[in-house]
Amino acid sequence: MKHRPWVFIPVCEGNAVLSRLGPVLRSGPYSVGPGYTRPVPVTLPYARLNLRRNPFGELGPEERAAIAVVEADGLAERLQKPGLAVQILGGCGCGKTTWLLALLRGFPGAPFVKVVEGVRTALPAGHPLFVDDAHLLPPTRRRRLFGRRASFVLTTHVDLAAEIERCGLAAFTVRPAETQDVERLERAFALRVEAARRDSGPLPRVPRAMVEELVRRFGSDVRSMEHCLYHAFVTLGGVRDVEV
Amino acid sequence: MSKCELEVVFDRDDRTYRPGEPVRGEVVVVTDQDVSCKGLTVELLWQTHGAGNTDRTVLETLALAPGPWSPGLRHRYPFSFTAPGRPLTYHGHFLNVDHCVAARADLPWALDPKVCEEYLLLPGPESYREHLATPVDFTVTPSATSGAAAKAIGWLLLPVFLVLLAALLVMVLPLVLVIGGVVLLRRWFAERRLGRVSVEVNGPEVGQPAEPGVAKSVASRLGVIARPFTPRAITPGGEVRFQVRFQPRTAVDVDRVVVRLAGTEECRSGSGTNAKTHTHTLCEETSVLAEGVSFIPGVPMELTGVLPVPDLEAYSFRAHNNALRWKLVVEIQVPRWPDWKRDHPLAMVPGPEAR
Repeated sequence: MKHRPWVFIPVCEGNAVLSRLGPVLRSGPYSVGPGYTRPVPVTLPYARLNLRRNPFGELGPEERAAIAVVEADGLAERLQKPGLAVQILGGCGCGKTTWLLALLRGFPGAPFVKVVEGVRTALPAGHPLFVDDAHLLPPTRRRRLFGRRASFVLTTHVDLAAEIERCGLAAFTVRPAETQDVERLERAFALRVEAARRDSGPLPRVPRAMVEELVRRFGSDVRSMEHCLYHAFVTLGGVRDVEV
Repeated sequence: MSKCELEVVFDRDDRTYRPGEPVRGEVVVVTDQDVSCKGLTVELLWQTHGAGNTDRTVLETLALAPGPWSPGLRHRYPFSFTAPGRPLTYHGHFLNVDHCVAARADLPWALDPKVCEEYLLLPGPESYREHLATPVDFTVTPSATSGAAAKAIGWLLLPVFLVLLAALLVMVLPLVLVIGGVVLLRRWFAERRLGRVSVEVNGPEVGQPAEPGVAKSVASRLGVIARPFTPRAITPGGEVRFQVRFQPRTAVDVDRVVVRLAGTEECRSGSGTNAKTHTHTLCEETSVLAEGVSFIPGVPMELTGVLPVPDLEAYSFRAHNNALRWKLVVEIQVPRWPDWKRDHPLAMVPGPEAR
């Protein structure tokens, strides 16, 4: 293969580069890239939508529980006595923790533990005990836990009913994914928007057709729906129906 | 149940304050019944909101002891705080940083009514100097520091931890060596041909530079660090200038010498196995310093470039769950050989002419 002739090309003052690949080196640097959006004046957050924040941003546990749409009729009463384990069962993002936090709201001061993978989490005494991600506990620790004279509310990815009953507790299973329907989701989304309200007056709306589209797209994964709506609210220009 | 409403009213209609200025206003209370309040707390705070978990810091608290509230009257409680220096108000895609005045009334046998109103904290004449003095880092808070007992237990457990760590390392040492070698020696391999590459970014340094002694010992151990990195300041609408220097040891063809300015929001939501990091690129400007060139061995090279800094009031910020980072990425792409790549942290600070 015949090479191109070597040529010196100035790069910057006092320096040159020997090149044989043709005049591809620029005499000065050039820029590429998508650029950036022009700055906008700093105003109150989401004031254009009559909101204080993005309604589908991350909420603190208290706020999340306050606006949860769950129907736990009679469960709180049954949990008053020891001997019951309520397992909230489902896949990622279906609303297990929201269910648990909503129940926890009815028991101020009750112990709550979030189990983290690979970390030995202390399980405090108390009744009822709320455990998030109970499936991450080793089986031996779970058995010891269920041996306590207390009631439990657990979120889990795997069905622990048999294990619970072997330990002499009554098991009650809640499957948030099965209780989700378009109407309930529409109500839940409307509550989130309402919770972020700034002033009186109209607010953006997540219409029924949009909720149906989200259910088609994400099934029972509410977290992914919220993430999608977060992006929609970031770009929403004014108070109107949301489009994804 | 009685209805009790709180309202925070600022003395400025535009709610815009600069660091050091007094943030004044009043908390207005209206009830529809006689209410005896146990206490009224007014707080000056900043908090993040958006896709990440909330980071929140209360800066000042004012505890008031109001008398009984009668229906139909507007009870007014004035407050005055000093606007903090930072973090400055920021509204982005995943990350928002807002300053607020929050009020909460402690009512017996009732839900405590509360209100939180934002105000805007924009850069002032001292912001440039203040941001240069120390990086904006809220990851260390006084409440996070351990007590004496916790420290003592920590020191007692340290030998056990070290022994366990050593045992673990012995077990997985071959894997660590292979992966670590590939990662750590990548730049070393690149410098076998390119020679020692140094990158200099112009601009004022942010915070105190590293101790010279420390820098030297690190350099002697790793062998490739020419000088310690301290973040260089960039300002909205300004520019960042840089030089890439090297002296090739062998004749080397280079595909491209690329310098990229990147600003990103990084927000972490959830925790444990549900933790997720949301990243949004605010800006990505690339400068190609050289493309398709062959360098002569022994001839020192200096490639100079400049990149425009976007006119975004997106000042560098770091808290436990949220961060806004700027960096300059320098990459030398050598065909059929490991690329040389290094990130240089930058700090976006308000310009000296802010206000």
